[in-house]
Amino acid sequence: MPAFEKRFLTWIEKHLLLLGGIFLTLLGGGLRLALGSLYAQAAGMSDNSLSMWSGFLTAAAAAFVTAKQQKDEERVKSFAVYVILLLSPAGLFSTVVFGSFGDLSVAAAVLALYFYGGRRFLHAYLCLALSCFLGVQGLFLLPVFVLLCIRDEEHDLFYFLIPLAGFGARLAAGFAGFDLLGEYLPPGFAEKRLYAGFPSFWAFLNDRAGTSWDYYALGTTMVCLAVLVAFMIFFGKKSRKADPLLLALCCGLLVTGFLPDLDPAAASVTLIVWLLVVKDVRFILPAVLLEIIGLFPLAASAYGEEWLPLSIQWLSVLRIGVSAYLIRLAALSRGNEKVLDEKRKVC
Amino acid sequence: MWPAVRQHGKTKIMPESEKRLLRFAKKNSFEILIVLVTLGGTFLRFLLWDIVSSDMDVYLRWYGRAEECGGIPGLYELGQRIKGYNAAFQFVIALLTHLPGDGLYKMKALWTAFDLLLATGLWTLVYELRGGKKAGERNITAFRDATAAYALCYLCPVVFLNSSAWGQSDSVYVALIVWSLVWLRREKYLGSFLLLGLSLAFKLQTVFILPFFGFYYLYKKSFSLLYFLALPGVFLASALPRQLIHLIAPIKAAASAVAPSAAASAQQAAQGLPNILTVYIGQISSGSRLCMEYPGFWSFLPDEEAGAEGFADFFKFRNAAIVFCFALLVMLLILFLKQRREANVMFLYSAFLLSFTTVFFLPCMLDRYGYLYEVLALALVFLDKRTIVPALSLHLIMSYVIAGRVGMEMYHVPMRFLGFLMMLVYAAYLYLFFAKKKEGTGNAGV
Repeated sequence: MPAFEKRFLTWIEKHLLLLGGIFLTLLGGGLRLALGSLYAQAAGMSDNSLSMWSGFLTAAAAAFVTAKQQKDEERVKSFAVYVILLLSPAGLFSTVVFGSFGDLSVAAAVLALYFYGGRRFLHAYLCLALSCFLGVQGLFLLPVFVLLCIRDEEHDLFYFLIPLAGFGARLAAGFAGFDLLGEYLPPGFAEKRLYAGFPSFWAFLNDRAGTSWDYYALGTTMVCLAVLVAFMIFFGKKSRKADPLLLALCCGLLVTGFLPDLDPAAASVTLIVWLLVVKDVRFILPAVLLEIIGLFPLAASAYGEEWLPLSIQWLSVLRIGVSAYLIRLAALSRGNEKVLDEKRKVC
Repeated sequence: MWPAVRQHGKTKIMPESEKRLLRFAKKNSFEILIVLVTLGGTFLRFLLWDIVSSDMDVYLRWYGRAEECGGIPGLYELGQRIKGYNAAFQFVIALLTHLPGDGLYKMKALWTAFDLLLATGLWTLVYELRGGKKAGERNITAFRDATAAYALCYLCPVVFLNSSAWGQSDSVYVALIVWSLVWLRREKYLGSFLLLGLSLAFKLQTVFILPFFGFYYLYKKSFSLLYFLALPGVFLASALPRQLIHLIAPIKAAASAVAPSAAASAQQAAQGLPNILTVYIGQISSGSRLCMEYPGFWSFLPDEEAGAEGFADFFKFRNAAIVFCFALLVMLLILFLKQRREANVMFLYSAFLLSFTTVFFLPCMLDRYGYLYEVLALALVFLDKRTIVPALSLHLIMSYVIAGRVGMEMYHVPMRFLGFLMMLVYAAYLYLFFAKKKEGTGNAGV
């Protein structure tokens, strides 16, 4: 090999992540442009020009949080998170085809968790407010902050007014005529349907329109959250090592698993699992599975459920199974192992 | 009870000759196994030679045209009548017409020969990757694994159904690719790239391995980018016989008044060159469905023909899918470059995963396009035994699909469900690659 070529390759190797990042960002843009016009067809609405680019912010925020949690020599992991979220097919469908800001909302909540970890509470709750403003996913993750507040007892309860203000701003925008409120009140809610396209526990009962089963669903969610709170107080009190991201993942899976009337864009909440893959590679298989399970209902919303490879009920079974596995994995992961060992000794 | 053999007052339970035979068999058990597998596999293929699939029907029509054109001398004329396949393939068809026998059997015999070449290539690849060559004397473990890989390859349904029942020629280009990989690993780069070019001259599907060669160029940093020029070089050279025959035809037939002049013939030959080059462009743009009989990633989208009444978003998704696949390949390439793994594992895993990714995420793929990575999956089993289950799943799925294609009426499972299963298989391979093995549980040479 000629010397100049060798030098060139060495230069590429040195700047591999930067060059790769730039190149893939451009490809990500091209991908969005290629699919951009599908939006009007799928959602019957006017514009996705903002949401389709939100994937870049989502990916950048997730990569930033990952980079801060890794050593410098492990930058490739944050690069991987950036690219995976930039190219995520479920993310593309959600942001480009359906014009949802759900992914960005989750990314803002992740940033909030990062700031919370650094004890920068004002930043954290401002990010959470942004998350609540951008999508319903922010509300899904609100219980995590309640749990952290109970566990750590480090900040004032008044901080919770900030995300509530974000939620209020969203409501105000809805009243002002922007179609933002719709996500909080999906069509199924008004029709007392339990199922609105998302493979949750309620997909098994999707024909029971006109009943008040949704209140049972809300009740189940509350029970699950109560269990989570109990879990947190029980283990969290003893150790402050439990990773907030793991808690957010568990909370997100529980809420989306049992809340009724969720539309397929609710799957955004599971992008957190990609941030955990870089810490523990055992998360990779569930992450891919959740990505696929999240993708199918989005495509089915656009092209009909007859194209689903599995019925929505089977997808729900799979999702619940993967969620259970992830929650178990989270409970046994590095942060909590010590606590569990201590617990076993006591027993 | 077997009768005992009495000799010099001693009771011997086995004659010496028989013992020698058994000792020989024990000593050369792997070689005997190879011979038995070869005979058995060839016999198995022979039983399926009478099947005429729809693809074989097309090949037979081309064979008939080649006979009409007079074989090799009529190569140029044949090229005008066969569309969609390159000059190298036409040359082989024309060559076969000069041999005695039925066209169907001759073609299937040739594909079977390439099956053998492929299995031998896989044997060599596994033997060398398992450290057989550098050991000096015969490394029994490497020899055993290589023999098993040979047997698996020659007897697996994906391979033997393709060549003998379906009559497809995928073993030709894949055998050349596998040998190209063997030579690449031996650092004989020119030979490797020439073989790759020859493979490309036969089938466009060779491009599925090009991402790996790109990766290896950046990973190894020991050969020049100029070697890649061998690919178009061999590609064009493969068309030379056809063009030369056309150029010398008027010289031979100078006495004939109707023969075209040399200048006119040269002009026609030059016009023929763009045809050779555009064969593949025609193949690329011929796809009209996102998922054409291959259970790829896009099988969850509507499986309808593109067009006004069909799947209206076909072209948008097709373009997006190509960009998506390219981006995914670049991402994997960067992640592989940043991985610190044992060289042999890296070599085979990256070749397998990059070709799998290319086929799985590109739109408009046909069922036999996965042939290359399906064969590489067999070799991978011997480098990472954790891949046994995904490899078995992969071969079961694809054998089912291919059995359906060769007329066994096995389309009971919807393609989108098979696509979903393939997604799980792909995810499992990714997991196994990135989740490193625990110390002490690895294979030798890993």
